[in-house]
Amino acid sequence: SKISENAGVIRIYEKPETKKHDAM
Amino acid sequence: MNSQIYGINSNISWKVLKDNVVAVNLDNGNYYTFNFTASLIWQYLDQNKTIAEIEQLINTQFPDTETVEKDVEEIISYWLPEKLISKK
Repeated sequence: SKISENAGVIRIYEKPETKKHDAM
Repeated sequence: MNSQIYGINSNISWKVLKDNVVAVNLDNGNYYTFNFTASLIWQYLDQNKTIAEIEQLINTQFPDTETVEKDVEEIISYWLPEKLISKK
């Protein structure tokens, strides 16, 4: 469970996150 | 079933770099980096998938993950006020 394999790359589910970077 | 469709706003320019989305708000210069799961959701939005379809696709890729529905709705509710996406 919670693991995806695609083209040999195994990924564990992580909560979707977005990091905001302020403009200079 | 959530059949709502959201679209990426026209003032947002984005690209996938090493599996992760980087999006720039061309109006104010702010930019955003997404982790892999958020990047998947973003790309599904770009393909005009409904929220229900996106949740199903994520669940297919990561079986037995209980929080997908909540997580998708949380990230959508973050992107909306940031004006990254809007309802179609």
